[in-house]
Amino acid sequence: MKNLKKIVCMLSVGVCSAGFASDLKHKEIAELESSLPAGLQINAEGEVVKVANKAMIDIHRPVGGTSIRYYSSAASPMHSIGGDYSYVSPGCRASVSGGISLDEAVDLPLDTKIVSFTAYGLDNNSTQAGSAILYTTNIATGDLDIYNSYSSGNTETPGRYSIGGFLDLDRTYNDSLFVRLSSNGTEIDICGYRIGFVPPDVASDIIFVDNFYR
Amino acid sequence: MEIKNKKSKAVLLALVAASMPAFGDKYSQHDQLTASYSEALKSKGDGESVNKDFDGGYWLNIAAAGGTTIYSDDPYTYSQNGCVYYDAGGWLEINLRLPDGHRINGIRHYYVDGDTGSSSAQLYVAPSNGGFTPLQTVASTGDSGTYSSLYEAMDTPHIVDNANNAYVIRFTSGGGGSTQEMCGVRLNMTPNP
Repeated sequence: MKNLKKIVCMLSVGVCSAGFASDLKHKEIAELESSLPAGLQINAEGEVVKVANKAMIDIHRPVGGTSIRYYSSAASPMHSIGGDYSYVSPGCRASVSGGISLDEAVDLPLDTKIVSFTAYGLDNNSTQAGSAILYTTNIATGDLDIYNSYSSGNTETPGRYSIGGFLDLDRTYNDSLFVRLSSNGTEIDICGYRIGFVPPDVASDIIFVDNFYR
Repeated sequence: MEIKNKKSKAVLLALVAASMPAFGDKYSQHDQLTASYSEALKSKGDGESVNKDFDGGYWLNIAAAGGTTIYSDDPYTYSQNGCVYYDAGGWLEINLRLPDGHRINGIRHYYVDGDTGSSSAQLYVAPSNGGFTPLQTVASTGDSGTYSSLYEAMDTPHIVDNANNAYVIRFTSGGGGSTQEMCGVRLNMTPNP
């Protein structure tokens, strides 16, 4: 019956409600996603809808007008450094018990200038929080530094969070960069991060505005 | 350049044959590599030091063994040659690093399918504003237990946009055990759509 319901909903695009999505528990969601044909999408509300087929294809848009590129990762493929976890659609993770930390090495080349760091997820709890840390490790000495850290906080308005800031970090010969996304409770969904950067071939040509005032 | 004249083809073949080392010639792999690389990277003027023979298309191979399981309670096992299998089914994911503006044309799934079930490789997008969008899914076929692959072109070729999307490969094994190995994917890409 469940399968029939899934198929009927998938075929009659647009009529599946968020209530349908909430019926699905844990691995059923991943099963539905894995069998979802191209052309359909599970949106942020959990509805199965058609992918907008009027998407503008402009090859210059992702890189045009600026030299800033982006490096994006979903949380569900990230490496857990401890704690049991479960998948949360789309591409998110939540702890099963207590907190969880997910790591990922950032393999941007030497002399890249990192200009922003953003992490996102879902925080519907007033006592728990999601956090994101950008670590730099000196690979020659083993010294670890927190370059910057951000938290969704305990008192903010519940809902999706997007935390981070603008940075001015140059990748150097010995720095080994990695991202850690964490939660301190089971009510936090960790969904991913995005790094804005300027590639090394143009980074050396860029003069940031605040340099004029030094 | 297409050579239509049979005589020209014959001359060209003779020249190629003459340039190849004969049996018994001392063969140096190092020399061969040095020669080919120096030719390919030969400077052709102002900063030009790239191989101009590049035809525009390229492929990205991603081994399944580099993935992580999306449920920590689903045990999986490394088999061999970059292949993994789930003891009782599960999902394995890998974040992709794709260049902005490049086009994804299709995906090939490499697998060992030895029973009536199947495994699949799915390329999906997780936009930062929520939502799950599959771009293409390839399911294994057959049950011979031999190393095989299957290619599916994208229904709609996709232009990489890292500003808004995270790109993920998901391997799924419906059945369990070593008869359903997931080994990797190959993406067919074009840099200049």
